[in-house]
Amino acid sequence: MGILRAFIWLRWRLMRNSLRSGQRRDALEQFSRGLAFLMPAIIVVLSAGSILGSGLAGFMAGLQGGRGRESHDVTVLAMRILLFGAFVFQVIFAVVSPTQSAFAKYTRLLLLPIRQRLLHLIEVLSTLADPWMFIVVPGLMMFALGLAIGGRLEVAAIALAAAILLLGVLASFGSLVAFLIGWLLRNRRRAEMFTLVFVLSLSLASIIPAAMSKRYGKRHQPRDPATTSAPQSLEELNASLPAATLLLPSEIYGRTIANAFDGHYARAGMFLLGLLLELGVIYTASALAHQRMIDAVDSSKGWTRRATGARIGPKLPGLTSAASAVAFAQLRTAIRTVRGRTIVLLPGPMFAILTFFFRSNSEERWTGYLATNGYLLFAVSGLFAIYALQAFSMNLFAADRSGLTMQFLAPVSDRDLAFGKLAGCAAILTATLALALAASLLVSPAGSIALWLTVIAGTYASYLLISPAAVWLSALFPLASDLTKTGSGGNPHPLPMFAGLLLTVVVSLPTAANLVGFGLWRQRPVLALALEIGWLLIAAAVAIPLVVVASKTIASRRENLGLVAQGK
Amino acid sequence: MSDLALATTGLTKSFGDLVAVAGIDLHVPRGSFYGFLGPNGAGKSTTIKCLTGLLRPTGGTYRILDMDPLADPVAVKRKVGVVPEDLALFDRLSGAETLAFVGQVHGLDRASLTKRSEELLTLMDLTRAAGDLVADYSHGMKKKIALAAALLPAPRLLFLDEPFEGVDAVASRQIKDLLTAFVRGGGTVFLTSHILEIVERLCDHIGIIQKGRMIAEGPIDVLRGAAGGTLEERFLELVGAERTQTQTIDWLAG
Repeated sequence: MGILRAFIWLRWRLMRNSLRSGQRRDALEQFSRGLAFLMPAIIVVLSAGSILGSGLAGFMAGLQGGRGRESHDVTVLAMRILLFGAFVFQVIFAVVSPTQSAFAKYTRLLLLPIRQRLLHLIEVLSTLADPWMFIVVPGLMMFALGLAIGGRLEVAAIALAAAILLLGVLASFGSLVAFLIGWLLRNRRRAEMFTLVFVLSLSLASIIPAAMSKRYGKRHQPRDPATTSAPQSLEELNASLPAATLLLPSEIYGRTIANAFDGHYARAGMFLLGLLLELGVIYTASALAHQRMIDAVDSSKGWTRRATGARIGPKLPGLTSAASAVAFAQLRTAIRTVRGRTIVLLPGPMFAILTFFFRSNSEERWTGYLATNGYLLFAVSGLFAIYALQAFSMNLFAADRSGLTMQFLAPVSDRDLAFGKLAGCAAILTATLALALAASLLVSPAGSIALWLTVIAGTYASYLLISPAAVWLSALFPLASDLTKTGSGGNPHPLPMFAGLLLTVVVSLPTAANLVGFGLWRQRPVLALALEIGWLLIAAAVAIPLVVVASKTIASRRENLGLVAQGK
Repeated sequence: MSDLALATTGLTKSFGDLVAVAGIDLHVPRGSFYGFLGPNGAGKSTTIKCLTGLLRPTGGTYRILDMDPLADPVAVKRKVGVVPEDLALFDRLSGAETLAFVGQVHGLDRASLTKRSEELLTLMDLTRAAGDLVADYSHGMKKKIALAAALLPAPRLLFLDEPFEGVDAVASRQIKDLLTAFVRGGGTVFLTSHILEIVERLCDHIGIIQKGRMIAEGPIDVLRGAAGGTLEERFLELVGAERTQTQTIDWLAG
């Protein structure tokens, strides 16, 4: 118990101390950290409603079921679906936030006189503190309470036992996945490759069902309802499901409750036993994976590269040698991070898939427009590219972490630093646009060349107009993000991110109006291009002096930027 | 031209109520090997950060190589090399790219960069690892590439924060030889270290700081005193270390 108490205390103190302001931070930095804290606080407040709602829904469902006023089929089916959702969430969360970042702390724990079995148990129990578990637990517990108050004490007892076993299975399974991923990620290069493939696959896979559903819906519309045989009852639905789904903890839980409702207590007991057996197997597997992860030799060594000499990059036009060096460092370091590669690789293929599906579904007016005027979807991908670039552009300095100190120690003026950083981001944007352009030309080459060029000019005009704000906000609200990871860990400070999102939309409006007005409506592509080039020149004329002004902010923020970038 | 490579007067750095550096006066002669010593938390790294522009001093004045770093920081940085406490390296650049970055920032031409980087990489025994990302380097290799980056533009003053910490005997020897040659060539080294034997062997001038204040400064022979004791004895005497403290902890004796 003492150890468990120590762990609870440790988690609490770590959370509390992360909100404390250090002596070395100035007032603006403390304000910045306060703002960064605001987002999770809003999520906590929103979650409070969900937790209460879940408890209330569970209680009412239990009460109605207990009093036998309504058929329990709907209740059980709803619970099966919701619990399956919780199970999927648990697995996804275990994959996207694995134990990789926690391993430094883990080494400290392993040095303490704590048995590994206990350490494993604590890890499994801590999974119950995941956000959706806060929603699932009250729902399940209040359901059992509702049943008891409704007069079905036996069913309530079975529901309570099933709920506890189900939570155990969910926690163990989440831990099992997290430990396996943790073991996999002990090698840095392998870990980065895994994360990149995972993120790209997940992002691309997520848009396929939406597109497929439209095609599916259209193809199946003419069919005679009499010939289709959708399941009419819970029994039919159960029979139609593949046998393997019976292994899902949510399914075993659902069958346990359904049998208990029907008074088949022996069968409910069998399902309960099945849940217990599943818990035993998964918990043991999780313990083995935990052991494996701990025993794995930590390797941060990547693949050996061919030794190369120091080669100076070319001096970029309009930039000094120092600013060019900063730009190349920005580009090189960015494309070697998971976040940077995702930014470059994602918009192109995503755009290609979207275009492909829109083209094959061109009965709808607007999708038809997009499919036959590929430059429009290319424009959307450009907008997306600018938004995705925010991980770098809205955190120009602190994202470099230790590398920022190197730049501060080098003879680089604030102006060169700002222009170098922005040029580096522009190079990333160029790589993204090139891939998006190639993909779009591959699947939908329709449209005037002038309009494709208009999109390119418009994207750069938008980027230029955001640039001064990017320098200013990055200097004022830095955040030591980790771009080797996906998720919120690689995001900039919430305020610049939000401001960047709004700005991206606002500064892109003239280009959008030009494309729609002179591209689609008036059919004057050359005029659209001429206007867009004019807009690009205006953007440059406005942005460059503003970047010079914004770069003056860096001088007064250097000290804090350096501290934040080092994670202090 | 002043005889001093570095001179500070009343250099102060505060963080709110915490005074990390409390008005120190430093006098580092040109061509000297200056050891800046002090117990943990004495203010050594904060002083170096102030001098190299990573922190803005809250008081005092200082000049580096006869220049005012606050008035023209870029000009000073062209003449100064730094290996800071956290090494300040881009994890995602290779060793060779790190040198290329520094070379380009300092405006080196291609031929000079190639020649200098090849020589430094060979000297540091990093040639084979030149194409590997710094993230894949061991701690000692990171120290060496950071030192190579600091030396590449041929600075006249080197700031080194704990250059020998976590470095093996072979690398330590290489670094010592390199620094000795640098000073012999007219350069100035300002280093902090906890390894007093190394400081005693390398440095000709010493400054000792405690609780943000300079408590001793001068040529090492003068500091050691006429009695000729070791630097460690003199250091412990000056910082007032309580040597008998462990004897009072009864339970440690088992």
